[in-house]
Amino acid sequence: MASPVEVFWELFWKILVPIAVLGLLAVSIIVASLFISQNATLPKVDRRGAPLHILIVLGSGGHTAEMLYMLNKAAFDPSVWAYRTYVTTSGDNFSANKAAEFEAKLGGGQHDSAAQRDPPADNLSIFERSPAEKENVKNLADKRDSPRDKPPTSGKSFRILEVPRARRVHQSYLTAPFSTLHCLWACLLILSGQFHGEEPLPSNHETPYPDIIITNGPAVAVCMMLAAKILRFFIFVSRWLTGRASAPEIARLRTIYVESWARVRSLSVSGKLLLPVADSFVVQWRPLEGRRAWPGMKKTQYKGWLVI
Amino acid sequence: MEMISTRLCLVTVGATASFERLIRQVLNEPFLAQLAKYHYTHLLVQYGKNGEKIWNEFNEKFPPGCEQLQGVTVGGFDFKPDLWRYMRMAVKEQNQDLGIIISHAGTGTILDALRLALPLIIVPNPDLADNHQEDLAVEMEQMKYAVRADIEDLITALDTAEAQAPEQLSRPHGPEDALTGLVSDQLQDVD
Repeated sequence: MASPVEVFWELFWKILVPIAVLGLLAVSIIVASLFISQNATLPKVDRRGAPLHILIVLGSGGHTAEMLYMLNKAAFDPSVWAYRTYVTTSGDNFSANKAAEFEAKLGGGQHDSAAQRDPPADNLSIFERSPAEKENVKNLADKRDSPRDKPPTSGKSFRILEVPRARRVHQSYLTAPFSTLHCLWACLLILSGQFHGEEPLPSNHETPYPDIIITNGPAVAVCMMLAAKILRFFIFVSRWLTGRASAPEIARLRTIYVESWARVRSLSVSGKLLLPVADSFVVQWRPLEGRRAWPGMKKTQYKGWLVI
Repeated sequence: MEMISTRLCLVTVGATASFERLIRQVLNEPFLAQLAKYHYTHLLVQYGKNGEKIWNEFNEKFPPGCEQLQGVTVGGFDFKPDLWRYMRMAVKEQNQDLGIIISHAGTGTILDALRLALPLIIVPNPDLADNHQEDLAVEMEQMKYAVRADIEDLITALDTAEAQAPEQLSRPHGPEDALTGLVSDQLQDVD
């Protein structure tokens, strides 16, 4: 009969030590691959006119508003950013509507601007305080939200996709990891073109992978950028296993993180998490310039305000 | 018929967090008196998620046209996705005097106010755990784009805002092609 001490040591050597070694190995692989992928210089590759596919992550109210400000300011050429995928979270109709509106204007060949748009004639009716009027206004609002008046959610050069939320406001931290995994899974499916009900890309796109992912910090952005990194890791490993590791190829799933304009002196939680992950990390205030996740990693860049 | 020009003060608390203390502060006699002093004709309040009760109380206490309103027409709503349309009513135009925006430190509202070159008072919500709104408010005040105020000091803040002409945004604030440049940096195109 073994003494309790012997049982403990046996357990220790057979279970705990291997777990610790494996854990250490996993952490080193993750750190090393983050380090390598952030510092690798891309080989020049002739894209041969391969159309660009940009994925834009929209979040709750503020993040979406900022992203649309950025897209408006950038005034990108829709023939260069040939295909746009917008990702919103379930239940966030505001973001989906904003993206659809933006694309509708893009189709009409004009970028919107608060200074140019005309106000509705009935603005002063908002000051009517009688209940009947209030009811009227409500009816009008309902009508405006009815599906037939909505701009379409997909078109020749764009689509709007909806993923489950990473974490609802006030959601218990006990169940949050599960919904985060659910969200991560949905992001992996979107990036590899397997998402349920996903509008297929035009046939001139060689792969389902977007070329560039642009995001500015909602929770779903963390899932999306981690998903991109995971996919890139597997693409790299499979290229290495098949002996094509050094053959030049178009790099896809590159990530651009723009920290919220509201962040002057401190990074947001999403920002802190994604600092070692993003290929390009942009801040909009000087105090945040030059930060990095750990020594040897890429620094944050300051490019002025991107929003206005 | 001669049109009387309107002057609007628009108060907004955003959609995500409630900010009842700010709503209570503006839907009140002293603040209305202050508005009247500066010839404001309209007060529009976006009261957010939990502000409806305060709004209804105010409506009962001060029905339209009552004396305590000091001639200021007051309107309120919980949330509108196209708030900038109402912010435009504060732009100086025919029959419209330059008004003012009073905002929690919401990014969308601040950016819209900058773009419309409207005077702005930023009231950071002290109940929010993270103080990054405070950082932004301080920075905006230093750049003279806004007046930063505590909830209790709203009346003095309006005096300050009335005394100084707002800084006009020197547009664009940073290169226009920054985002498209970042994207092409990530592409490996041969020139």
